[in-house]
Order: sequence, then structure tokens, then C-alpha cells
Amino acid sequence: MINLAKVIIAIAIAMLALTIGFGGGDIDTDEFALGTNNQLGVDRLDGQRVHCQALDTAGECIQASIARGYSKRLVWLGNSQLHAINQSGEGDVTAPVLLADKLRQHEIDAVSFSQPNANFLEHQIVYHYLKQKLDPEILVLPAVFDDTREEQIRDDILLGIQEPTVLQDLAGTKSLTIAQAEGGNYSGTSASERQNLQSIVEDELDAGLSSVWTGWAAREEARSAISIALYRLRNSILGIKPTSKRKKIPSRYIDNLLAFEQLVCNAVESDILTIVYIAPIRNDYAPPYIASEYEGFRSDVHNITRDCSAHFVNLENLVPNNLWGTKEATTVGGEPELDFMHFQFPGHVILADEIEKQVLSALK
Amino acid sequence: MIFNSITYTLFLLVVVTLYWFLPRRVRLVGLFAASLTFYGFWSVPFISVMMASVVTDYVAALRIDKARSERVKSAWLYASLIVNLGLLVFFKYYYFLSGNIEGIASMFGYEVGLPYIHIILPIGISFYTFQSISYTLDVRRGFIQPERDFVLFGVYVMFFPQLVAGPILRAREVIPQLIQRPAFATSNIAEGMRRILAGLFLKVGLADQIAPIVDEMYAQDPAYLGAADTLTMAFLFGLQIYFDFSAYSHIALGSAKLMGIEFPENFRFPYNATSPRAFWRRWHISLGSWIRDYIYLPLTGAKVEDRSTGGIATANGEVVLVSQTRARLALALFITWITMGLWHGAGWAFVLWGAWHAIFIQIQRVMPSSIGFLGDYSNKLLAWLITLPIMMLSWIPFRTQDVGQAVELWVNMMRPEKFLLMGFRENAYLVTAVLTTLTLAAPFVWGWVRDKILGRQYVGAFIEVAAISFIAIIVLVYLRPMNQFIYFQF
Repeated sequence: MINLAKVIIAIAIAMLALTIGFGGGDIDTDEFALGTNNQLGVDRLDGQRVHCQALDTAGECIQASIARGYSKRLVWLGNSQLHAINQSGEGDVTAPVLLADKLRQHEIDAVSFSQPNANFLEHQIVYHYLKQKLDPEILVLPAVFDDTREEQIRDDILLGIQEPTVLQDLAGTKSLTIAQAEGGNYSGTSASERQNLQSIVEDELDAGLSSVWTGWAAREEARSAISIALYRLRNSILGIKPTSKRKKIPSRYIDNLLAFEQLVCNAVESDILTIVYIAPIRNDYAPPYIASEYEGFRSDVHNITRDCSAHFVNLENLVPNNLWGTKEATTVGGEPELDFMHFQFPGHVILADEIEKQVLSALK
Repeated sequence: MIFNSITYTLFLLVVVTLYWFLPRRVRLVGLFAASLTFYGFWSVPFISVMMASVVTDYVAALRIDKARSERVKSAWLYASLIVNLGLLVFFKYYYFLSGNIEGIASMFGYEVGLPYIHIILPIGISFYTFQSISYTLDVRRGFIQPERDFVLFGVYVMFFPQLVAGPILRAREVIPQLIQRPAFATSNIAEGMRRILAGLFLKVGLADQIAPIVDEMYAQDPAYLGAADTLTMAFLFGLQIYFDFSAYSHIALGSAKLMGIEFPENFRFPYNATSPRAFWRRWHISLGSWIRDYIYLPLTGAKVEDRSTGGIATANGEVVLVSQTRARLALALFITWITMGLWHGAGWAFVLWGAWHAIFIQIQRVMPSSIGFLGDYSNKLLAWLITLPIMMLSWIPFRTQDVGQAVELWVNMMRPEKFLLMGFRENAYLVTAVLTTLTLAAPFVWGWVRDKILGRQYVGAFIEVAAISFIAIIVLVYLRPMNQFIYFQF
């Protein structure tokens, strides 16, 4: 009887801890990744969306752009640099919104899509999806070395391959192989399997439990909190900081560059004016990359862009050092850390001006 | 139904409650219906495939018992084998066989176009057919009497806790427990709950969390990976499959225990084994024991046992070495391991996996068991240091399911220019190192906690409650049927 009591008490404690610990919380891993010093920028211009973060919500951007009916359309893809503002203040907006405003006087409608740490495989899927939906005349694509260390395709991007034409366009690419694997991989269940009796009952029970127990409803927050705690613990123990060197991951780098090449060449072949730029990075500190690898990346991007006959511009020194900032500590109880990715509002103005200049120059 | 779900938790609660209140006959019918419901949550039509196996063996065993002539007895046994293995071959090996037949034919200039049939592999088919076969074989061997109660026999084969991924049990071990319900004991309920929580922790807290890292690693091109990467891939998948499969066994044992039914252990800290043979006495013990009794020992001509414990290389298997030629034993070993490989999957990569184990077990047979000038402890340590990477590296073909890729990864380990190449994110190495250390330390830590802490009245109770609370929090937070158990596909 004592043994059973111990197990029941332990489970009760766990349930209580979940309810009290996470029941009222609201933790977002994307927001944590940006840090409290970085705010998501406004994604609307004159009340209409000009920036979206995922394909599952892209419909609003797409429909708004079609409704505006400008003679030319520009699509700007990117990572969190496009949607986050360091030390943002009242009325600050991001470069994509500024650019959209500027280009309207030239009868060009600019729409942007960005995801945190977006890699080129994800860009490739998003590009083919938007090419079909928006039929753009201009494409702007930043190249960020850090993002070539990623290869995962997120669920909200996977949606893109449900379009038959996108599937056809991506045939034979690594992006499609990975997307399909992640849609029903070795460890997971396939989409069709998810629709069995088990999943239907499970969804009902899950929803029912969430409605009667705040602790259960807060499980997503609890998972985020655990991930963040483990991440901070790892960084603290191993002394990992934003200035720590991030090495190239060979196979991912090659997959990313191949996807980049396919994307850029396809865009040029489709008569889309394509502008590729090396993304701005702060240069008052040594970049968190191995110098030779970063140099190789710049050179590879340049060569591929040239071989595909697209426009290339290196903007890594574009944003002055004083317009960068810090972000929340990624260690346990640590000091604010250098932010190599996100700059302040004036930096967004500079970037928007430069992209406008490049676009108008290329159009001539 | 997937164990790592709220659905199963609720299902188990209802079944166990009814189990303790219903009289024997109704109870058995209830378990029969519960087992069908459990399977039906995956697929209702495939219940018929399982029932075909159950009915065949039920009838065959009765006929074997009734028949007077040995020929008739054997004929019924063969009928059972044909049906069970026929189902297995059709559902599991059709694509493999047809592909190979077409390939071989084309090598000789013939075009053989075997019909394409869309086949879905029924989950658990390898487990329930093997369990069913063992029953008929045991009746034929005279080890057990046939069961005349169809419902009871059906519950033995389809008993939901072990239906889709084992342990593979013998009729003698389970049927008496189903007939005679033990007295209700809260200690059984407590033990069952502990085992289920431990299993869910291993599944949702560990196996499911490392699954995406493993998937990403195996999606990479081996050309850009180095020696350390192959080892990391081998170790991390080795840990994933261990957590995943032992989790299933824990939940199976725990679920049965809630009903007072004892299943034999299926895992005993396998990665602490000090030889390949010892590993197989600790890993998937019920399958190893099945293979031992129905394939390996008959091939060697040794006396066959009737128990699902001990694993593949047990005492009698060694005794028999004296009376048999080395060649016959080696042949039996290889046939057994190729079968073991093919049982896991229809592909040459699984054959390679089986051959890998056969080779190292054979090497172990001819090697001295210890080095004279080293002490007992040093010998054990050395043996473990050699065994662990061998066992882990065997998982490479098992996970890639591609012979070419597996060989390329193995070869990467022997190319000096790849010794310093590291092709994964830093987290992959870190997670592998931490989990390997914790897994290897687990039996020692558990032994110490059990002997030194849990026995102390207040401190022991406090530590126990704290540990279970921690496990329960992780289970509550991560419980969701996100991933199937890996062994479901076998």
C-alpha cells in the first residue's frame, strides 16, 4: 500500500508542478531566439500585410499583393534579420516594410517572407511556392553563412510541397527529398497514418484535457521552457557565446549551396530579375565564423550568382557598427551578449535604401 | 493503439479496472475484445490477418494432439508453418523477393515481370506469427498440451501489452497466468505504474527527443562525413533504438503487471555487455530465446528448451559445442543470424547486420576468453571496450537500410584523411556523449540507489517520490503519439 501511495503522490506532485509552473506561462522559442532586445517589426503597410513568416499564413500576404494589382511584383526572402529590430522604439518598422513603401512610387509591389535561421533549402521551397502564387518579376535573396549550417525544413514550409506544381518544380532536389522525409520520416508516422482512429481519438482527448486542466494546456510552454533551460545550461557549461566560432558543416553547406544555385538559376531562367546580397554583419568584432570558411562562402555565393547571371552585391559592411546591439544572455544568469544578426531601426532604413537602389539600378 | 498516448492510458485504466472486477469467463472474453480493440485502433481490416494465424494454430495444435500417426502430426505442423510463414512472406518479404527474382533474372537476360501489389505491412506480424508458431511447435514437440479454449488461446497470442512488439512469450508462461488470476495486490499496481512511467520516460523523454537528430544525421551524404561521425551515428541510433524498444518492453511488462501477470525481462543493460554473445543475452531476450529454441539449437542438433528467457547464446548452446563439428556450429550460427537479420527487415542491409553479429560471435568463439597477465577487472574492462563499439557499429546497416551507404560509413572509419573530419552540428556529438555516459552508468547508479538509498525509511521514500515526480513531469510534458515505436515496423 505504501508503494502505491508513493507512486500516486509522485504523480500528483508532477501534475501540480505542471499546473503551477507552466499553467499561466507564455513562452515562445522564436522570441527567445531573438532575445528581449529584439522585437518583431510591424508587418503591415497601410493596414495591409506586406510581410509573412510562414506559408500557412502566407495567404494574407499573397491575396493583399494580388489585390493591390501593381504592374511589377518583388519578393524578398530572408531570415530574422528582415523581421526583427534591435532596441526597437515606437513607430519603428522593418526594412521590408520601408522598401514596400518606397517601391510603390515605382509601381512595384514588394512582399517579403522570412523565417528565423531560414536555410536555402527552405528558401527554395518558398520561392517555388511564391513563384506560382505571385508570379514575381523581381527576387531579392540574402546569403547568410550561419544559415547554411541548417538543413531542416519546418512544418510551416512543408506546406509548400503540397502544391503539385511546386512538387514538379522541385523534382530531384535535396529540398524535396528532405521535405518528403520530414513529412513522414523513419521515426515518425506518415501523413496517412496520422489520420487513423488513434489520431482522431487522441486529438479529442487532448483537446478535452486542455479545456479542463491548465497544466495540460501549457505543455507546449513547458516544452519550450525545458528546451531553453537545456540550451542555457549547455552554453554555460561549455562556455558557448555568440562570438564562439561556428564551423561549416560540410554536407549541409553543399546541400544549401546547391539549393541556392538551383533557386537563383531557376529564377533567372524564369525571367525574374534576381538580386543576391551578402547579408549585413557587424564588423566591430571578428565574425563568429572561421575566417577562411566565411571567405569561401562569400566567394562561392558570388561565383554561383555570376554563373547564373544574377546580380550580386556584398552588403556585409552596410550597417555601421553603432547600429547593432546586444541580446539577452543565452547562458544561465549571464550578461547580455553581442547580436551579430539584428540591427536597430536606422539600420533597417539603410538596408531598405540600398535594396531600393539595387533594384532600380538593375531594372535599368 | 500506441502506448505513448492518452488514448492508451485511458484504455488501460478501463481494462485493468474491469479485469479485477469481472469473473473468469467474462474477464477472458473482455481481454480478447480489448486486444482486438487495441489492434483495431491501427487497422480494423488487418485483424483478419491476425485471426487467420490464431485460428490456424488453434486448430493445428488440436489436430496434432488428436492425430495418432507421426505423419499426420507433422502434416498439421507444416500446415501451420505454411500459413504463418506464408502470411509473413507475403506481407513482409514480397517486395524483397520479387525485386531479387527480377534482378537475378535480368542478370541472365530474362525479363520477369512479377505483379506489383500494394502491400501494407500489418504491425506486429513478425511478433504474433512467431509466438503462434512457437505454440504449435511446442505442442508437436510434446512440451505442452494444446489449449482447447479458443478465447484463452486467442488472448495468449493477441494479449495487447505484448501484441505488436513483444516480448515473444511461450504458452506455458502465459496461459496458466491467464487462467488463474492472482490475488489483487497494490504492490503489483505500484510496480506496474512504475514500469509504465519508466517506459514512457524512455520513449517520450529520450527516444523521441533524439529521433530528429538521428534522422538528420542519416540524411547526410556519407562522402562528407568522417570517422567520428560514423561512430556518433552508430552510438546515437544505438541509444535511440535501445530507449525506444526497452521503453516498449517496460510498458508491456508494466501493463501486464497491473493485471498481476508476469512477463520475463526483455532487456538487461545490454550496452554493458562484455562480449557479443553476452550482449544477446541482454538485448531482446525473448526473440533471442525464440531463435535459440526454434532455429539455432535444432540446427546444431542440441536439446531444445521451452522458455523465453536466457537469450540466444545460452548454456545448452555452449555445451553442445563439444559434440558437434566446428563447421556445423559455424553454419548453424550464420543461418541463425541471417534469419535474425531477415526477421528484422526484408533487405540485404538486415542480412549484413545479421552477418556482422555472426562474424563477431564466431570470432569470440575462437578467441581466448581472457588475457593471462591482466586481472579479472582489466579483462572485463578491455572486453567491454571492444564489445561496445562493435555492437554499436552493427546498427549502421540496420538504420541506413542500404548496404552501399552502410559500407561507405564503415569505410570512413578506416580512412586516415577522415579521422579529423566532423560533419555534424556540435550538439549531435554532445548529446551522444552525454547519453552514452548516462546509459553506461545507469546499472551502477541504479544498483547503488537500490542498495544504499531506497532501503532508508524516510530518505529513501523522499528520493523515490522525487525521482518518480521528475519522471512523471517529463512524461506529462512530452506525452504525445508523435513517433511510432521503431520495432512496430518489424
